[in-house]
This record gives sequence, C-alpha cells and structure tokens, in this order.
Amino acid sequence: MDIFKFIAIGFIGTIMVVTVKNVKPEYSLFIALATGAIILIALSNKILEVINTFTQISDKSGLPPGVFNSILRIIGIGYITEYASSVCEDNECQSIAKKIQLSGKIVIFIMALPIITSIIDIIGGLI
Amino acid sequence: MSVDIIFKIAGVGIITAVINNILEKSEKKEIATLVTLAGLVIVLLMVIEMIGGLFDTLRAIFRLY
Repeated sequence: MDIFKFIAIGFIGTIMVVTVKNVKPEYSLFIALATGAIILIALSNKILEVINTFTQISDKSGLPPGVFNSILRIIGIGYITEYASSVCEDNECQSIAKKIQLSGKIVIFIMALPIITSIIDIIGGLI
Repeated sequence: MSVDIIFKIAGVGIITAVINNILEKSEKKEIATLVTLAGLVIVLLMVIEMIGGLFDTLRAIFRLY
C-alpha cells in the first residue's frame, strides 16, 4: 500500500527535524521543507489520476471547459498555500502563515469570479 | 522519491555544528560563523532546487500557468 510509503517519509523527516533541532535549529526548517516537498512530489502522479477522471466527467457534463480549469487551479492554489502556511506555522511564525492564507483566499476569490459569472449565465439560460 | 536528501541536510547541519565546536575551541570564532553561513547556503540551494521542482510539478498538474 502506498500510504505506508508516505507515512514512512513523514516519520523520517520528523525524526530528522527533532535530531537536528537541538544541534542546529535553523536546519529543522530546511528538513521540514524538504520532507513536505518529497511527499507532495510523490503524491503528484496520484493527484494526476484523480484530475484526469474529473476532466473526463466534466467534459461529459454541460459545463464550459474554462470553469473546470478554474476549479482545478483553485484546488492547486489551495494545496500550495496550505503547504507554505503550515511550514511557517511549524516554525513559530503564525503571523506569516496567516498572511499566506489571506493571500491564498484573495487569489482564489479572484479566480472564482469568472466561474460565478458563467454559472449565473447558465442559470439565466435555464429560467 | 529519494529520501536521501533529508539525510544530506541533516548531515550538513551536524557537520557544521561539529566544525563550529572545533573552531571555537581553537579560538577562531570568526571562521566558525563563516562555516555556519557556508553550511546554510549549501543547504538553502539544495532545498530551493527541490521546492522549484515541486512547484513545477504542481503547476503542470493543476495547469496553474
């Protein structure tokens, strides 16, 4: 099962962070970043499968392709923002983590505007 | 995905700590700070290359151009 691989990588990373924390605290941030990156890269081909099935489903449904692309982008931004803000929270920078989350929300809101307009057009067409 | 980069970073951290101790014992404090900076720069370059790879993969997957 693949989940054990990710858990193992996570544990290795945490053990390394703890060992290096009392020797050299600055390096624990780098190890946390590297472990997060490894896990996300290892996850990427699984995410790709999910997205391909969703694209097929959305092609069959009546949605214009632009809408699904925006939804996909929003999910992507959600992932990256969560990754960055959780790493910042780990290293006692809650304020920076909050700023990253705020910027993620605003960028997502800007991306969501065309979806809202296209959905309203579809609804208008139905009535 | 290769896990050895985590061990590399931890190794560089521990080695810089040891070298710092040695240099401090031999009263060469200024070189010790330089060694810390060098270790930080090396690890930073490694991690930034990884994060760059991660962001490129995510951009390719989510079509975030």
